[in-house]
Amino acid sequence: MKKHWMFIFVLSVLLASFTTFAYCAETISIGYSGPLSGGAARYGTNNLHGIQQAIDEINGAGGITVGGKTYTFKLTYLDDKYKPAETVSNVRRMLTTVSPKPIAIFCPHSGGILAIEKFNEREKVLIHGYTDNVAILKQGNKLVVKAPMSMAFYNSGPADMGWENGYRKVALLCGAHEAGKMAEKIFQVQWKDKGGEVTSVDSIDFRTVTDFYPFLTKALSKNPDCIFLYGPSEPTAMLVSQARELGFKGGFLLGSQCKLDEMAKVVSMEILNNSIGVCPVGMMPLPMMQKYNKSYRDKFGADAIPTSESAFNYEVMYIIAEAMKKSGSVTDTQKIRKAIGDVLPVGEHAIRGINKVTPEGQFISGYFAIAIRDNKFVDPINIDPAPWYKKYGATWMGE
Amino acid sequence: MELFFQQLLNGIMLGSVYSLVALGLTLIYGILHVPNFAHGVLYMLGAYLAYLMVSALGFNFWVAMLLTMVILAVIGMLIERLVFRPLMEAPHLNSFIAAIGLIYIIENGALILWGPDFKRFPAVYDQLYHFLGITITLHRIIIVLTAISLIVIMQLFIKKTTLGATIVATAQDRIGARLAGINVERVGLITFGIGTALAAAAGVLIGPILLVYPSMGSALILKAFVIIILGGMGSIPGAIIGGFILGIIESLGGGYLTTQYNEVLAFGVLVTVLAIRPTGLFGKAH
Repeated sequence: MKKHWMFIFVLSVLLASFTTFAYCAETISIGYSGPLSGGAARYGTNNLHGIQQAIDEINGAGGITVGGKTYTFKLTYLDDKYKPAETVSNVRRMLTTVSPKPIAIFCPHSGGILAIEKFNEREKVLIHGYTDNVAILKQGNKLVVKAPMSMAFYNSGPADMGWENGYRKVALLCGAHEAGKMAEKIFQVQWKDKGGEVTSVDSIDFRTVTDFYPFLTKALSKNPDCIFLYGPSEPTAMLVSQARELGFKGGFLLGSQCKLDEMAKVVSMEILNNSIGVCPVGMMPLPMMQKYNKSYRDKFGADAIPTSESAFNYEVMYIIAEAMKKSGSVTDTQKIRKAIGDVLPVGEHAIRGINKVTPEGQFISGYFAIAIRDNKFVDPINIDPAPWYKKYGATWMGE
Repeated sequence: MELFFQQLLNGIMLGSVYSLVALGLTLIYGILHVPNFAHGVLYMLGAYLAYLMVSALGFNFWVAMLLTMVILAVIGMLIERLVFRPLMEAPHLNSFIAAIGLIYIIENGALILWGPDFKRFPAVYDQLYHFLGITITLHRIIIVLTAISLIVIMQLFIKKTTLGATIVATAQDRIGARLAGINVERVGLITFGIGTALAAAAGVLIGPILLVYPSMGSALILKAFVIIILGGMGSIPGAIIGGFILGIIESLGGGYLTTQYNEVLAFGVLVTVLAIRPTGLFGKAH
């Protein structure tokens, strides 16, 4: 009798494990580790929304078919509070506890990406790093891709337009965070290359600052024609507003972190006059992007602003799905990575226009630069990535 | 010279906000004998409440400020009664951890309730004044005047009223105060209420200049600690003067030397003062 029970038990365990196995084989896991609480919570959520929307759309359309089998995607996300150490433990946790094991990990900050690049090849997991820091491409990692172009490329549009406006003397006020420091270094090189003058360089710790007057008083005492800013949109908008209070009449050149549509929510267009920055994705004059904006708002609420974060991650999620189809594998990340180049652009989902991937893993796409004059946005200007990449390549960061 | 006066003015504005926060913190330290790390999140809570009252309910700025101070005073008292008083006899470490726990609860509560977005306080008193090459907005003048008035009122309250004297007595010697017939529990409750109301006032005042967001408190609390250590833990004049010293150092140091080392300057002064006077500027050795 006892043996009989034992037999049934073993059989049921076997059956159970077989069914889970069969069930798992039809799901593909995608992991995300990024800030979902604290000061960068919204940034992290924007990234997550893009992936989520693509996955929901793909699953809603019945999933993808690879090798005659149909698969749906499952997204697992964990909060890393913007800390690389937490990114590592999150990713390790997902790789060991999530079933099936994630094939791709999305991470939106260079510190975290650099940390997981230490072991993703061994774990055979693909990384999509959402950052304009090209350092993540310099690690020789074969399983990393990155959608945002280099920071230097995003700086170049506003810098050129500012130069054409006749600005020659620039004051720099950038965040004290890693990206801010990098923007500060790159912009100085770019501005001096043009023959411009840098009147002052100050960095602001946006986490601890209580008032911008001391910083602005110093910067404005050197009479710059324009100020280059790099930091989170809303505090940067306050900076602009306080600079106007202090009587500054010149222009503002904005690094890619400053989003003009988010800034316009906080301060008036009059204050933002003569600001030049990267065109917010919601305002890009591209039909596919406009369609995406509408579906984004339908999904996340009328107030939701589609951002570069959500748009790029959305497109990359589609790219990965297409590459799986092309490669005929949902588990072999080497093959999937190799197939990526052959699926670009991904049809109507290529909303940001990714049309190429470099051997280092840089996706190539252009952008628009936009300015505010007479209290309104002027027409966006298309910035073509081809000449830039011919001259500087994928990994130039001002050295 | 214009640069100097502008930066001095900037420093005084910053200092008045710092002093207000530090004053509340130092009062509560006198009762709790551990720094109340949750002071910063209560300042954040104050800013949010006033923001909601002004923007959603259309309250007058001053009405909103007064109401916020009252509400936060009640919240402060509740926190004292529910969180810190049961830990009074326990080792200090317990209160320490409870305060840190409060940060998580309140900050993440705000994040869930109001979202991670930065909120812009509707502009109040944004008239500009220029004189002798110096620029200041009316709101900044109001911040300085209000903060100084609150500080003066607090000083009078502590020095001239019996209740104020009992707060000082309890801070100096809890057992002695009890022996003299002071209800130390009640004093603790009131002190928490007052300290929290001061933090709320600072939050409301700075709201229109900066932005309102869930982690705004953690930025300020570190500076408030520097101030009360600089001034001497538990010392009221120390907190007030320390606040102005830090504000002026930040803006003048940033203006003339480099903004990169703003915080290095502030901590440098702290280290120097502590090296010469280990108990802080006004602290008394135990």
